[in-house]
Amino acid sequence: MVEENINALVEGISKEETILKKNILMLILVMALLMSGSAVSFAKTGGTIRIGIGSDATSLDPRYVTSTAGMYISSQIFDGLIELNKDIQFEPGLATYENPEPTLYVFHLEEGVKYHDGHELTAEDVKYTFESVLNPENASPKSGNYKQIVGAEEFISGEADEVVGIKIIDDYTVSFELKEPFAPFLVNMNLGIVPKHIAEKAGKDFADNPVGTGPFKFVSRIIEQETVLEANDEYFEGRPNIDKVVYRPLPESAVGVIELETGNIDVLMSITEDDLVNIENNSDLVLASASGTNYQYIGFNVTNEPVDNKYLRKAIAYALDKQAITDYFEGVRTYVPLPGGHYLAKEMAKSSAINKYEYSLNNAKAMLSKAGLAGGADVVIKTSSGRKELAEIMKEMLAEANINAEIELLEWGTFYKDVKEGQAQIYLLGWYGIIDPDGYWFFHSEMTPPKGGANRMYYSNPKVDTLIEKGRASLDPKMREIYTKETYKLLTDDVPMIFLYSKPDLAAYRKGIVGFEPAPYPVTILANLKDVYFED
Amino acid sequence: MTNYIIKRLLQMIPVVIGVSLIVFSLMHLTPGDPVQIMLGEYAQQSEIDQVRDVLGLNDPIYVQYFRFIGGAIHGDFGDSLYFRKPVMELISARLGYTLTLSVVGMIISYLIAFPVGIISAVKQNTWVDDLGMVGALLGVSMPNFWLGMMLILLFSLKLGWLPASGVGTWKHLILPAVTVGTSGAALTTRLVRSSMLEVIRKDFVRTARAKGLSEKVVIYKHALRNALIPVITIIGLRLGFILGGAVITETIFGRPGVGRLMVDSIFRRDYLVVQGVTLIIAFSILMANLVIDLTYSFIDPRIRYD
Repeated sequence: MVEENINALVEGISKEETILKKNILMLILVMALLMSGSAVSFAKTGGTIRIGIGSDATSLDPRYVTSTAGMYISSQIFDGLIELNKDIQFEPGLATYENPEPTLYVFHLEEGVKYHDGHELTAEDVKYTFESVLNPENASPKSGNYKQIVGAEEFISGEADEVVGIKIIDDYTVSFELKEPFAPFLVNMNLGIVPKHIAEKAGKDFADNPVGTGPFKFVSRIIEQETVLEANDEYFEGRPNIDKVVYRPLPESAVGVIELETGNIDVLMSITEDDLVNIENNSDLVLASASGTNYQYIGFNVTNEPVDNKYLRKAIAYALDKQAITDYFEGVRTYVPLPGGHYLAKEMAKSSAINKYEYSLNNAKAMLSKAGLAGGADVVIKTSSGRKELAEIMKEMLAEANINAEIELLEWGTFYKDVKEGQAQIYLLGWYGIIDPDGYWFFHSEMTPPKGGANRMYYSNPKVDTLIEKGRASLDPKMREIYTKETYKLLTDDVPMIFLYSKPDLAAYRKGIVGFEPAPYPVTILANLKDVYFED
Repeated sequence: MTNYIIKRLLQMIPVVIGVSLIVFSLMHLTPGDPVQIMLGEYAQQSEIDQVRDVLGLNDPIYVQYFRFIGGAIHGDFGDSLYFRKPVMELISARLGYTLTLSVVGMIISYLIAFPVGIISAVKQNTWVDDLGMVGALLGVSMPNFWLGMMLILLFSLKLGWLPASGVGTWKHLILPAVTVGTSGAALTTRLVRSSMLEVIRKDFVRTARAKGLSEKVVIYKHALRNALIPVITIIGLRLGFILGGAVITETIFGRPGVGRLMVDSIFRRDYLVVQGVTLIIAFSILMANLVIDLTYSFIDPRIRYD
């Protein structure tokens, strides 16, 4: 009996303990929920964010957007199938994807995603978007990005009515078949998807009243004055915190900084090095800096005398103190001996085989002798006004190595035409938004003008061509890395260009705005604008 | 008078055609392909050719010119290669801002120039005259971009009285108009002064004084009216100059204007916009000069157009 009582008591106690434990657990859960709730409630909704941009967008239609300003606005109105995050990694956007075969990409659309007019997004819109980009009548600047799709060439030439490689499997599934394995394919799959039922009828007027699925809806636009967007309450990833976004083009960057300082704008997307001091010294402002995906370089037209001589090019590479050049530009520019912000750049920068032109006047002079120019050389540097200062620094440095450089300063259009047509020895140019290691556009002999592409060095090396082709056809990252490294080793030895430096991508905003994350172009701090909010 | 106006309007036709020919030839002779700029540096030649075909840029130059002139007669300057919008729409959206800036700037310049110029002439070789002329020299010497930035620093950043950029309210117009007006005022002040100096030494002014008229009446009624002719003439000539000056001012103050559109379009090789804006500006200057020529007869009744 006693035992029974004891047992009952023990049972009772253990029951009470269990209840107590449960209660404690519940309490913890409630607390956790409350805390997470309070975290959510911290994200205040409402308010208007005013964003200063350097120049106005040429178009808001993602199929025609080529400028950074266009991207800043258009990317809030439209979503792509996949998106790039701040670390330049792909993540699902409107769709998740699978790659069942090396030449096949299948995209599964998020169901129930609505355009701003209430229509549901379907695979039909995806096919229409890409076909309208490829349609030569629309003269989209992006058509070149999708020529690897089966049937694209036939569609462009008018031999076919549709791109057969883009297949609608069902309302929410669309597949893209490629002619051959193509590793950089996804880079261009963040193109904003447009609604077929509106865009087809509107034609080129679609850009005047764009309708997308993005977090913000288009309200109004007065070119070069302001563009206004408002929150999309039905956004499939949740309503943005901010109610309204106003973009204002401010072509004079110093005025942009004053507008930011005086609180007339909240964010400034275009910042020059001259503005940095004012921003950094102002405690009301926050500078968002991310290492850039841009690259500045010195190009040689390897078919033109005297720089057709590889050893002269090497002499020039040794004679330039790249670190000193970087320091001269007040450290804003970072010396990175490899192009771009892609995932291999940092790793490859460590390679001594790739990065071997450390500043050395002795080596420069030795190379000059090897080039048969021991007495010195005369070269011409062509540039436009934006890189004039760099040309002057180069001239000074090259003089130390007995290389006499003459600077030819040209208006941009003339300069670019000359370089493209092969009328240059040494020229100064840059790349922007390099997020993939594919060197096809720049170094493959097929990309030499006038055939197209950016091989303005007129560089041709069959080994490099083969390596590039193998690299872009390798879906295995390890193999791709090997091919890319080998490519750059050969490029380092041939020196068709000297990789110089990259600039950080900068933006500034007023304190009190929460949620911005520094990210390089083409992502930028605006990538997560929908999560941004104003602190009390 | 009617005959004179008709004659002047007819004279404008060859001038406008000449301007269109010059600007058309210059734009097409300038190196740089608009389609290359539009499609970006990675575009292949085949794509460039295809787009050039769609836009009619592969047609012979004379075909392109007559297509442009044919459209222009109907007020259609074609579509901007860059914005993919009708040129006329782009111009009309901006013309109001540029004209407002130019007119208000001009008014400010005359509000400064007339009193300073007249006082300097009347008080010639005194410290007042010296002060006025030093001021005029300063006004001429200050570049618009510098003056604009200084005004923004003072009135927007330090005092917070006026907006630094944008359009919309009268407040947005003050700083850019003062910037445009100041440099104009300096030149006009010197012109008013020298014109007045010439007139106040004439016999009829001496006669007016001999009649016992007050100095105020002599200066404002007799001398000033006669000194106005060269000053009014310069308004028409200055219109083109002010439109040119407005480019810098529009850029600094972030104002969407025709001047800025034109300069940006030259760099983008947006032929049709440049041609459209040039023709409209040329036409505006010709019309302004016609109006000014007609106002002579109101200022000086001796001038007749028969």
